[in-house]
Amino acid sequence: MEQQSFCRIVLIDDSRMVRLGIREQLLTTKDLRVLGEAMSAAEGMELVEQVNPDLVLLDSRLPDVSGVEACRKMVARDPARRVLMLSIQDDPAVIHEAIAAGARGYLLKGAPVDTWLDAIRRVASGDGLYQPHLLDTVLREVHGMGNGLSSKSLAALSPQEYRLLPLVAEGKTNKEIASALALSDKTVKNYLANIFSKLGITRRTQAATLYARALPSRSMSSGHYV
Amino acid sequence: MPLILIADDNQQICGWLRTLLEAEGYRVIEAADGREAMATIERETPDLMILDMYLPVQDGLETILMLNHAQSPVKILGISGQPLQGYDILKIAKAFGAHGVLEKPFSRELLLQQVQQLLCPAQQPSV
Repeated sequence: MEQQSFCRIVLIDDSRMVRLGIREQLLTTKDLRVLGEAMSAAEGMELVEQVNPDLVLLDSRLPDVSGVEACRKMVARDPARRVLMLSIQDDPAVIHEAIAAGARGYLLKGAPVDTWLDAIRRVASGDGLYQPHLLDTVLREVHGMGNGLSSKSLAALSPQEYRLLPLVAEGKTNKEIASALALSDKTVKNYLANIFSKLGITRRTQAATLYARALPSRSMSSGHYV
Repeated sequence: MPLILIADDNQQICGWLRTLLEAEGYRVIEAADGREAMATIERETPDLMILDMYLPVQDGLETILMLNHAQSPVKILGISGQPLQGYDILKIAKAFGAHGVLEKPFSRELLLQQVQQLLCPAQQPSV
C-alpha cells in the first residue's frame, strides 16, 4: 500500500464558496488534502475529533461560536492541535485573541495563493505563522493597552469591579469568577460591562492585557530559582 | 564556545544566569533593556539571546519583532514571570517568533536543556 505522504486538513468555514475555493486550490498540490469540511464550530470540532487531522483551517467567524472560541476548545482538548485561523479582518484584538487561544497562525483570506500554501505547510509542519505586518498591529495594541491604563483609569473602577480584573486576566469564565467571588453570574456580567465601559475596551483579552501591563514590572519579572 | 546574550534589567537574575551558563562553558554578555540588546547584537552577533519580556525602554515583544524585521539569525529564548491565562506574554512571544520560552521561576536543568536545544549540537560546549 502506498505510504500516506500528504498533509491531512479539516476545513471549517460557513461559506460554501470559500470552502470550494480552498479545496480546489489544495487539489493542485501533491502534499495537501482536505479530509473533511464543516460549516459550524460544533460540526467542525466533532469532525476534528473523528479524523484527527494534521491541520485545521478555521474561519474566525462562524455561525454558532467564534472561531477563536472554537480554537480555544480544540487546543484545550489537544494542546498539540495545529490550527491556522482564517479571517477577512486584520483587527489586532482578534489576532491577539487568536494567539491567546492557541492558534499557530493567522492568515488573511485575501492573501496571495503562494502565501496561503506556504502558511499551510509551515503550520502543518509545526511552525508558527503570523504575518509580520499583523504582528506589528498586535504590538501596537498591546503597547496601547499598557500606555492607556493609568492609575486614573484604574481609580475609576469601584473596589468590587477591580476585584474582577485579576480573575479576568487569569482567563476565568464569568461562571468561575462568580464562584470565586460568591457573586451571581448576572452580577459578574454587570460588573464586567461597567469595567469595559470605564476602561474603554470591548474584549476580555484587552482587560487582561491592561491588567497584566499595569502590574509593576518587578513583580512580573522576579522569581525564585531552584 | 557559543556566545549568549542575557537581556534582563534584573541584575540578580543576570548574575545568576551568567554564573550558571559560564559554568557550562558558554560565553556570556549582558544588556539591561531591549535597545541595548539590539546594539549588542549588531556589535557581537551572539548565538542565543535570553530575553526577558518585561524590559524598560524597549520591551521583549518589540525586540523580537525588530530582530524578525532584520532577519537576525540569533535564537531567542523568551523568559517571563507569572504569565496570566488571559494575557500569556510567553504565548505571544512564541507567536512573535521566539524560538523557545521559559516561565520564571525555572530550574537550572530546564534552562540548560532549552539552551542546548536551541543552539545547534555542534555549538554545544564540551563537557
